[in-house]
Amino acid sequence: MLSLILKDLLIQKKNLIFAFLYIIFIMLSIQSKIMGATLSICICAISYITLSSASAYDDRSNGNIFLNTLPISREKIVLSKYISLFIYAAFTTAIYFIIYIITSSLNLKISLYPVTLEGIIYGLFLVSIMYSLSLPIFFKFGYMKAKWIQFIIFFLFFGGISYIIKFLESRFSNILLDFGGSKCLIMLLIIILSFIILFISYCLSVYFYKRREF
Amino acid sequence: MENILEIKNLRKNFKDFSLKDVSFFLPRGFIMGFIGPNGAGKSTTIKLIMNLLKKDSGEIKVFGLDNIKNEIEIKDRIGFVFDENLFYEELTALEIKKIIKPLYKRWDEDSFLKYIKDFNLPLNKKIKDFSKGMKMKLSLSVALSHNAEMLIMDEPTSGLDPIVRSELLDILSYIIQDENKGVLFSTHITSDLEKIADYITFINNGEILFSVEKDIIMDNYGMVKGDKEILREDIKKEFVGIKYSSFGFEGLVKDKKVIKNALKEKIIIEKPSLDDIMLYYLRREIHA
Repeated sequence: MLSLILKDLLIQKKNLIFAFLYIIFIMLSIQSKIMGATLSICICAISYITLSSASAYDDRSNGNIFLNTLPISREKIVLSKYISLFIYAAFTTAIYFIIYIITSSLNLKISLYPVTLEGIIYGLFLVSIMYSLSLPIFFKFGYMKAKWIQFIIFFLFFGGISYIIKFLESRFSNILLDFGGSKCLIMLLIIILSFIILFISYCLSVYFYKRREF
Repeated sequence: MENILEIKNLRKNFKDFSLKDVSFFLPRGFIMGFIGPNGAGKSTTIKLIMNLLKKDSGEIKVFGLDNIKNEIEIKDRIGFVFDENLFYEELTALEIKKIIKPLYKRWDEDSFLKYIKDFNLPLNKKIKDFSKGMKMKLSLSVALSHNAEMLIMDEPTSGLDPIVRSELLDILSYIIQDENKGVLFSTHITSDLEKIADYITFINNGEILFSVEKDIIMDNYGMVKGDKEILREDIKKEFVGIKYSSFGFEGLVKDKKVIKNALKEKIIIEKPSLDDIMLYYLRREIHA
């Protein structure tokens, strides 16, 4: 299964330079109040773009036929896409960290948000939702056919994210306060929630992909 | 003799095409040519064997195992060559090997490198810069490098030049010297099969017209030529198809002995090619 993740990375070698530049662009362009979210936004954007691009390659070049002639189960093909999320997120965090170290040591007059566990967890949470919404659609219809559905999800998600956060805050803040409202607990809940969403989405993707014909 | 591939009453319905009760078998140690015109159902059958398409009903057994229940084990023991390039165009042959190698239990690195060298393939060039022949050779190198017991090839020779085609046929003849192996080879270029196939399975419009040993076909079928006048109705029944011209007729019979006994020296009987057989089955009566 690791070789499938390797495959997704190898077909996108060129995009890695683009990802590097894109992270710098996001870091520099967010110089306002939401600066604390820079790392999370980077993780979400880079992981999602990389996933979309890998899925597009699978569709364009008979990739699904190729994968399904190999001795690997469809469950594992699906799982490899979900696991790749964490690899892309780690990769983004590493690049972010390198850029942060370099810019800090150069004493440039730009403010950058450091790498924090909170930033990583929020980033993973955001990208988990994006992956969980998109992957079942990709596995059901293929990337090319699902492009427009994905486009709609993408904009609804970013349009609605502030409402979702407000909703969650209003509903859960009291519960969290009851538990002492500690940051650790909130982080833990976010991690658990991310895994639940990913698991449900994975089951759905497997269901669709096992029935797909090529 | 154990069958390496067994297909029984296989059915698959599409909106505009159906595979109707397809049944045939291939014993170990032989090459089967799977012939038929474009759109006859060859690729559909092969995709069903590989579980790329889902069957509606019927049974597919490879190495005596159900092709769905034992899918991974079967795919580990099959070498697959498709008529289109399946490799990611952005990758090099070396990168493709890196991806595939850990997935096969019995990957043979030396064998892979030997084929790459024999075929003169560059390891570090992207697949998108490969010619059609090079892509097919890479596909074949991968299919032959994991000790596959069975090769399934869907139109491997289409679009290849005669030299590459001939090389491919030589390799298949060499592989089949190992009596534990089997090859299913679909093509519409039947001349390739005359040289190497042991069995011929002919499919048309989703139905198997026949599946027999090639020698039986070659020994029994005959191309008959003669004057139109001798073609009585009872004689006509013996023909698979007849082609008329201003000089007389030419037709295909399943059993040349019967027609020889009936018409004696009034006719000339020649050995048909597989192409002739396919053509006469497809167009039962041809007027030239």
